[in-house]
Amino acid sequence: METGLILIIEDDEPIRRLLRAHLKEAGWSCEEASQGDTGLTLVASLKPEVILLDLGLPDVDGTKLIPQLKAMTSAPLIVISARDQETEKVRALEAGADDYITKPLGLSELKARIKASLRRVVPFLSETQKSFGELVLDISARRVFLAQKEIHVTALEWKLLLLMARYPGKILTTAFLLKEVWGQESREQRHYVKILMAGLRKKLERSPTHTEFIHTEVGVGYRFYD
Amino acid sequence: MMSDRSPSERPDPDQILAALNQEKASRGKLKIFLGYAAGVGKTFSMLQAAQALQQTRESEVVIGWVEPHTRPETSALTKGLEVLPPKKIFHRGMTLQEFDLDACLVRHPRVVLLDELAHTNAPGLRHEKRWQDVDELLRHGFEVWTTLNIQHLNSMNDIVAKITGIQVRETIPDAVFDQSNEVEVVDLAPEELLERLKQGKIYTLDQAERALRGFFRRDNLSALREITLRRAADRVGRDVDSARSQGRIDAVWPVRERFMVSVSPSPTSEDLLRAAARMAVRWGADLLAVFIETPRTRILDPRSKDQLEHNLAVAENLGAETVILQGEEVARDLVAYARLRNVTKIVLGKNRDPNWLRFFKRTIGDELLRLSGDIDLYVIGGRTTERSVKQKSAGLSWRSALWTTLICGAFTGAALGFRNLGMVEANIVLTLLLGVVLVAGLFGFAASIFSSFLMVLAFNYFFTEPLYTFMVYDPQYYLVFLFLLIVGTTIGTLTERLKAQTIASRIREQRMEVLYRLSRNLSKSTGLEEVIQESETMLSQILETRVHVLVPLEGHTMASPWESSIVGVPALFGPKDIALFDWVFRNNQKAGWGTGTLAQSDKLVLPLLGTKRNLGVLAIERRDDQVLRSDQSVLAEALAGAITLALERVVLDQENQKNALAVASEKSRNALLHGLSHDLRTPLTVIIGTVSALVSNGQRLKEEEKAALTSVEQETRWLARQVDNLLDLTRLSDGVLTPHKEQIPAEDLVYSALARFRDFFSRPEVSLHLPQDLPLVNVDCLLIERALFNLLENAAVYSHEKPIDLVLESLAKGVRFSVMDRGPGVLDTEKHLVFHKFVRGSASQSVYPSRGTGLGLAIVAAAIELHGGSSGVRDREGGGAEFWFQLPLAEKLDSTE
Repeated sequence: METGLILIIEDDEPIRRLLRAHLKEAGWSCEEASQGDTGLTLVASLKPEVILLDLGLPDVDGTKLIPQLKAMTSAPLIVISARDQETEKVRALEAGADDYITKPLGLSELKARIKASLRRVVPFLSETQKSFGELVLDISARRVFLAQKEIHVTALEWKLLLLMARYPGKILTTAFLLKEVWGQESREQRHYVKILMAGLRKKLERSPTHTEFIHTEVGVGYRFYD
Repeated sequence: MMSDRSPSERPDPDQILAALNQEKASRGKLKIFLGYAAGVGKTFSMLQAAQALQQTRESEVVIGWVEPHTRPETSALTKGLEVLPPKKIFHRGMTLQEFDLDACLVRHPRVVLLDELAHTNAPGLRHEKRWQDVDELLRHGFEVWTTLNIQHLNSMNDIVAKITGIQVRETIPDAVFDQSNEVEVVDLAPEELLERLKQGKIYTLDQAERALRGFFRRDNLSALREITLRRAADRVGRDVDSARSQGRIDAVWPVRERFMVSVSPSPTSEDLLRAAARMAVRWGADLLAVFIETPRTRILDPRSKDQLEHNLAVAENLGAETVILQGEEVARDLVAYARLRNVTKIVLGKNRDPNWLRFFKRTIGDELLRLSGDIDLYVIGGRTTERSVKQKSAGLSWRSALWTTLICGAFTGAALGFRNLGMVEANIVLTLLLGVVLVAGLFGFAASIFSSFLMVLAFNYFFTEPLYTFMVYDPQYYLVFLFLLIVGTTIGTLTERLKAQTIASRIREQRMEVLYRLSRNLSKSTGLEEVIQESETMLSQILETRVHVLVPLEGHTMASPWESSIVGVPALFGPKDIALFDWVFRNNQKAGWGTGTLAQSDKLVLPLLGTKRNLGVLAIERRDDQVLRSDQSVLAEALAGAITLALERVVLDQENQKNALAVASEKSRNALLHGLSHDLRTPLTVIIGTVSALVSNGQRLKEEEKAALTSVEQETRWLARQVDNLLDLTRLSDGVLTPHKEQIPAEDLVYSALARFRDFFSRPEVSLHLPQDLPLVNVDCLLIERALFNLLENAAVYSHEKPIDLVLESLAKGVRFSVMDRGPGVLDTEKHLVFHKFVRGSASQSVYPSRGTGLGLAIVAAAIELHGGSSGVRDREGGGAEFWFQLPLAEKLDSTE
């Protein structure tokens, strides 16, 4: 059973009802706001553990609300977006949202996202090993094993892999990866990430039709070991 | 003005412009194989180079035209090269073979070989000269290789004529040569050339015999060879200069020289122009050829007028910028204009007036010397066959002669009356003088001289001793005669000049008036039609001929149909006219009557060049009686400018209105779609969420209930997808969707689409075939992923759970995605239909009578089309269908590390 308070900022009553019923069943408690400004007041007073934010609010552009919310709390913020708001999704992530989920919602998916976002990022500098299923990263030795077999990765691939391993299950935007690995922010160089990722995928994924470690979120970024 | 200019501080704007022009990447390269005489092996060298190129890059070199040679070595070199079939022209019972420009444009080779740049085309072809064909090819971006003999270069023409005594008529403008990208001098020692000639390798033996006596003399050849090498070196020097000045931006900017030469209606002016052009080339300078139209020169005799036109044409041909200015004093106006244009050197011819005349009259040269200040003057000698320029003076007509006689008679009568009244002689002389003055004022120079003589005779006859004879006793009277004559001619001359000035200023006023009236009327007219009609009416009046303003109909960037204010354009213009309009419109150059292009047409067509694009053309019909004078064509071009401005304003207005409308309607449509998708999705989300929760927590449910709920969930998910599809397609087919393109590895799209596919379909199996080293594609990832998903979905629905193959292929021009199923396949008759909206194959109806909105494939087609790719379906070997699409490659990018 999960515990903690989740704040749902969503203007559609039926969807709120659905989310509420479901999350409560999983053990969370819920508070609801149908508008942006009530959402802000509730965040200040209730200090929720997780915020679910619908981008299509009647009173305010959801993307503009994100920086304000993030300024008030460090709680993870998950955006609920419709499929025709895909460009807004990226803008929301760039504005500070931690993750997103697309309508129509898969409820098990939503639960997984919430859990993933609650896993605080642990800088595993002290750890010597980290494993994800059959993938083992030997951090001190800088070696990668897949099903006990060592896999050779380049220095840049290692940097990327290590970075992603710190955020399992979280969406990582291409811009973020570019900045962290290359220290660059130019939009023209985003294909660097994609090319490097394609190479890494060839080394790690065993079945092309069922990816295990590197999941592509087209147009947004990547998710590691979900 | 010039003295305060410091060359080290300010980059010359002309130079920047020239550098910009040179960078026009779209223009093709021109390579010239230059020789000093026939037979040095230009064609041979060109073909050899072509063969070498052919070895490295396949099937790119096409022979546009190579003169048929009898030399076996040369014709052997054409082997293996594609030869464009020549165009056959029937002219006066003869069949001429010419280079086929249009066929070449269609064939679209990378490199075209065209022998003999200076060739004159057969009548009836588009251009008069081959170099114009070459120019058109270059403008289309082709690389052209050609051959040229030095004597065909315009500025060298007279020198060569002096050396060899043979005048060559076919010449090319120097600009063509100087703007070429590469010049290869094909050199051969004169001895060897003569040897080859004697062996009959160049001409047949009897031709060679003649040639040896004329052109092909050893001293001739040596001189020609030297000229050729020197001229080529000049050109190379200019290349180096331009490279140097472009390379160092903050280093000292060398001042670009600009030469000015004054054009006059004299035949020596032509020699002066050539000399100036050669100097300009050597200095790497621009050349301005200026004609100052003064009141005197405005009334020239026809022969001088023709000569002036000829001289101006020569100047243009030599690559000079020709300018006609209105002025009063040639020297003063020349210097003023020179300062305006930053001219550094003025070139003028030696004055040939006799010395005694120079004592009285300051020549233009003297004046220039006084006024030019820091501008250098170059005085050049010319041919001695000076033909003086005669001013057309108002001759003595019978009518004015009669009137002159009558007036003189009347004044003589009055003077006789005065004498009888006993007045002194001085009054008598003054009376007679008054008569002369009156005649001079009324009838001009000739009449004034005539009247002076009449009055002298009258004075002599009636008033001097002995009376009533033509004898004179007192020599003092001779002085009176002389005064009478001088006063008469002086006043006559003054009157004449005054008249000329009045006429000139009237002409100028008229022109200004016309321009002013046109711009005023045009600025008032609002619609396109009004502008066109107004322009046509006014221009027809001014140019005294029919004038048409034509703009392409909306949606046609070029080619017919054309719009004009005259109803029934096609009936008015033949296909040849339409072709002429199209050519001018596409090439932004004037053509037709009086130009070097399509000169056999009865219309002169000017482009209406707007700031951003060509707006239309101006067609001036030929008048039967005469050619369009240069002053009129200047006027026509000025008027074309005014029309262009007005057209541009109207077109811009229309476009702005249209854009505003489009933006408004796009906004409202987007809002509508957004609301619709929100309203449809919310209930679907709730249904799916609730049902899936019930199923996953449904331990208490019966099997049948669980199955029913699962089916509800699946159907609702399907419904949600169809809603998405419908909205996507609406947006795609509205054309309001601008793709957000990104560089992405093709396999990323595949992985994502497969993952989503798995969310919806657990079966059938998909086997993926990825080649090594898939390139990047530049696409809107979401759109393409959706397209790929739709193909997979389509295959899954029809394949009856038989496995699907997803194949990616890396092609030369793109990446091909194919989804192959073992379903019922698509009938041949339906293959082109299945990608249409709401169309489903008949096979699908038998399999799934209720399923399928026929939207999925329509989205694929629309999304791929948006990316400039292609999509389709074909039968799969062994049964089933293969649906595919192909995406263009991303441009080459730097690597990741």
